[in-house]
Amino acid sequence: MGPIVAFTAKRLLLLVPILLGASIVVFVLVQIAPGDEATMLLGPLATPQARDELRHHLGLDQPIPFQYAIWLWNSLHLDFGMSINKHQSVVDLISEALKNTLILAVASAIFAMVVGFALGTLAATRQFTRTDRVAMGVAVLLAAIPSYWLGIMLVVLFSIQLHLFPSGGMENYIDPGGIPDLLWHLMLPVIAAGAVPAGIIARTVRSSLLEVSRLDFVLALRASGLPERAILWGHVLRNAMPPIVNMIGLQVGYLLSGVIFVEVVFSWPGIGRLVFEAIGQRDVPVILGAVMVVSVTFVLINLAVDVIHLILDPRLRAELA
Amino acid sequence: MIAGPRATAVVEPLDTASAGAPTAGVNLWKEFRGRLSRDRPAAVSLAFLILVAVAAVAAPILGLRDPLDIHAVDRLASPFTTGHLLGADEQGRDMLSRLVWGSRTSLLTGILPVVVGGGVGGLLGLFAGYYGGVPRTLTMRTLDVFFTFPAVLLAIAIAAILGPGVRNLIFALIVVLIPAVARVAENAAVAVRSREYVEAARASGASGLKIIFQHVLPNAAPPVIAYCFTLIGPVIVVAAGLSFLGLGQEPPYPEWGLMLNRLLPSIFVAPVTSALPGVPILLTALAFDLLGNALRDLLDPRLAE
Amino acid sequence: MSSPNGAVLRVENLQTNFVTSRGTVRAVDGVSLELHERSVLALLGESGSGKTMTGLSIMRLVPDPGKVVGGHVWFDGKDLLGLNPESMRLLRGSGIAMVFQNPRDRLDPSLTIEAQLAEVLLLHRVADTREAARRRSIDLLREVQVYAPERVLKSHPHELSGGLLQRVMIAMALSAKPEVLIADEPTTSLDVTIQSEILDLLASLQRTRGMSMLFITHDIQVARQVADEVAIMYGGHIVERGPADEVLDRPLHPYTQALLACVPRATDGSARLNTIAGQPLNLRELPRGCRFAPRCPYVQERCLPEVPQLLDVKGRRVRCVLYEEQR
Repeated sequence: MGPIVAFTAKRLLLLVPILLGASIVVFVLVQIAPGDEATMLLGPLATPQARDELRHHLGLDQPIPFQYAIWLWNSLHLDFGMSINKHQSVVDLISEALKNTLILAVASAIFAMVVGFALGTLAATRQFTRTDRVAMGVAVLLAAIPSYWLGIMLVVLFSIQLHLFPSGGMENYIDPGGIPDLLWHLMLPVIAAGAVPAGIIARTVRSSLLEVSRLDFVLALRASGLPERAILWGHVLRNAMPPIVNMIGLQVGYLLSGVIFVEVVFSWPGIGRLVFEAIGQRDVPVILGAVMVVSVTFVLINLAVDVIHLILDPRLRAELA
Repeated sequence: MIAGPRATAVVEPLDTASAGAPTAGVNLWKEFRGRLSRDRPAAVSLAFLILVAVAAVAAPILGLRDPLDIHAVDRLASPFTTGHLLGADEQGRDMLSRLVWGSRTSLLTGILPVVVGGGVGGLLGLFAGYYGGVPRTLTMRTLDVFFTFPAVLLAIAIAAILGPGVRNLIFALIVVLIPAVARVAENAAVAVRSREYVEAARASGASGLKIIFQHVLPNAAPPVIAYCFTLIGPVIVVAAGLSFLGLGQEPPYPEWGLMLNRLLPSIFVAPVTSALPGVPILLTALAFDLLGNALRDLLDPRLAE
Repeated sequence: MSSPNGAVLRVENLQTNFVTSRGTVRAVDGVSLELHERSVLALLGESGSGKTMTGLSIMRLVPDPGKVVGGHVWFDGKDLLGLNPESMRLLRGSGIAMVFQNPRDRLDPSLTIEAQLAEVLLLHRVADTREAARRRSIDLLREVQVYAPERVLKSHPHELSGGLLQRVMIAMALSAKPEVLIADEPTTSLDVTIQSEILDLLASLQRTRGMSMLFITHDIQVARQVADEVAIMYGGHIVERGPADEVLDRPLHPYTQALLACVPRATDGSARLNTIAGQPLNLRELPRGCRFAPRCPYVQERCLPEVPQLLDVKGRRVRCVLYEEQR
């Protein structure tokens, strides 16, 4: 356990300067953007004095590094200010939206992993047969599908034509139904968001399984009389995991931001949609807060994936020591 | 690779720890033709892409209807209606014409960022990987900052802040692609640097720049190029997606993602026509993916599935 | 040749081919041998001679694109090549077991030794609970002269030395008390001092358990140390076969003679090392006739049109035209 904890601690420490750099990038980006907040809030007919007063009130007339320092300080206390448009604290907005996005992202990730594993294992165990080619064909197709288009198609097919699933929203606002209702609303968005990662995971699973199957110890296992099934599940799969876990980690990153398309198509109240609307309304505190929160989440997930890597492969642990 | 944050590219990164041996250009071409003859999907994809490219370039002379010509009367006509082979959009404009004209933008926003971002990122990574030491650490750590953002989110943020328009979209995508390609190029350069012929060149006193262009570049380039090619498909999808969100091509000009956006309110009334613009996005991305796989098998055979 | 002991394993005309895009390689081309009760047969040859493929073919573990295309392997009254895959699988490890070169690459790197040993023990019903398997593992490890069995059981393969790992592999192979052990170059990748220990271990285990051993090797000294009988392979063929001391002290086949002449002697400090003239065999372009002919110092015209038959000579079998008159 020791080396794992040390590794985690070291990485967390490294995160600090990197996240600091990221926060500077985000802050600078927002400053570069054309347009003026005060004008946007007050409208084009406001007097210059009113604008100046508002600017002073919002602290916008301070030198930029100063503004940044204040923002950073507040952020570390999880005070991202108030949303300019929605009159709610940014923290509240973000935490609600983040929770919803995580629900969608996690569900999509699970979907992608299940489908990806099934396809990849099917293809690998029947290498060079028609099943293999068909499974991989499906995987390649899935990996290339635009998620927004798939979402639209799913709505057209299942919602409009077949009336099987709702066409949007996270739950039935009129008559909320708890978990089953949530799952029902999740179905279509999850498929739309999880299709591409599923395809990519399927290919990685297949190639990793095949690579491990070619290793010498598999021949030795066969020579001791083990049945193929036990070799696959008890040995090949576990040794094939590292590149697969790597890929899953990458895909989670993709999902965290890729869901924005699905959130827009299905009106899912997640952080992607929040950022998108905020950008449209020049709601700077929300933009800053949301992007930073997403980045931190993203980086932490990557770290978690690396740690899982370490747990799975004792050789890597030895290398660290 | 445990240390450090990972690439946020939308497709799987190549582990380019050891680049391929020097390959003569002519041999490569012959082998590529040989591979194509065996790989039916890749050959079909190539043919399809050539078709699309020709159609895009030849759009003005193909005898299509004016893509901007509004005909309220024909609103949301289904495919195979007289005068509209693929139907009409929500303003009565001819779908076929808009799809063909739209391909120009969609292809541009898909390929140009990869070419520019790949070029810049590739050179950056190459130099960083070859020279090592402080410049390398500095460059890679700076790029690491970009890796803290999921790629799509960063592109959206940059494009949104700069405002709508094709140029801003391309710029945003380039910014996102540079770190991803740079990392792959850096790996390749580091691997090639330790090869014998590079050591020999250094020992004989050749200048750094000369070594880079004569030895490192030709040998580190193939896996980097293969990687960039596999990026084209996803970038096309993301570029169209950003237009779908309103961040790229502006109306009334045609672009596949933008068309999807405009037709979204009509999916209840005319589902087939509304979903149509997504088909070329899928097919083009798929074609680039299949072709990219064949190319990758050629240029970096260790990763062949 | 009549033998005092019965034949536990009899290979008849075994044929294994590899079909590649650049031609068919006949890796094992009509190999016949007999493994007698309680005896050790060394299969001796250079790399590429087909000896490893012979071992794998007997176990029916030939990797793609190879395939056993002809012959019989008689064991326990049955032809192994005719068995269905499931029956063959049941024999592996329990009837015939195999030990390989490079023990480090032959164990699952992600599991402890205890887990891997237990798996084999439970599979062959030598033990029926994890606890019983653990105890049996400790006994087995002691039998292969591992002196700290508990520590070894808790370790992963990468933490142990090559010699130790080979002992573990031997323990695994012997756990189900097989009648036949095929050892494919078990000492080749080990240090010289360890080699000797492992050889002694194998020899003593063979004696105490009354097993038969097919010992595949390229090293003549090793063959000398362990073998009762020796079969020399070249180019997919057996070229000489007989009792170990006779073949190795009084070789008849020109290839065997050349091979023995290559062994450096400690006494000739200044003399040059002997080599065998000519190029190694290209298995895709085999000569018609005797495969050793291109390099043979005694080559004649009648060596060439066809492969010479295996002839009975002085209680041995030799595949050479030189002995056609001396039957």
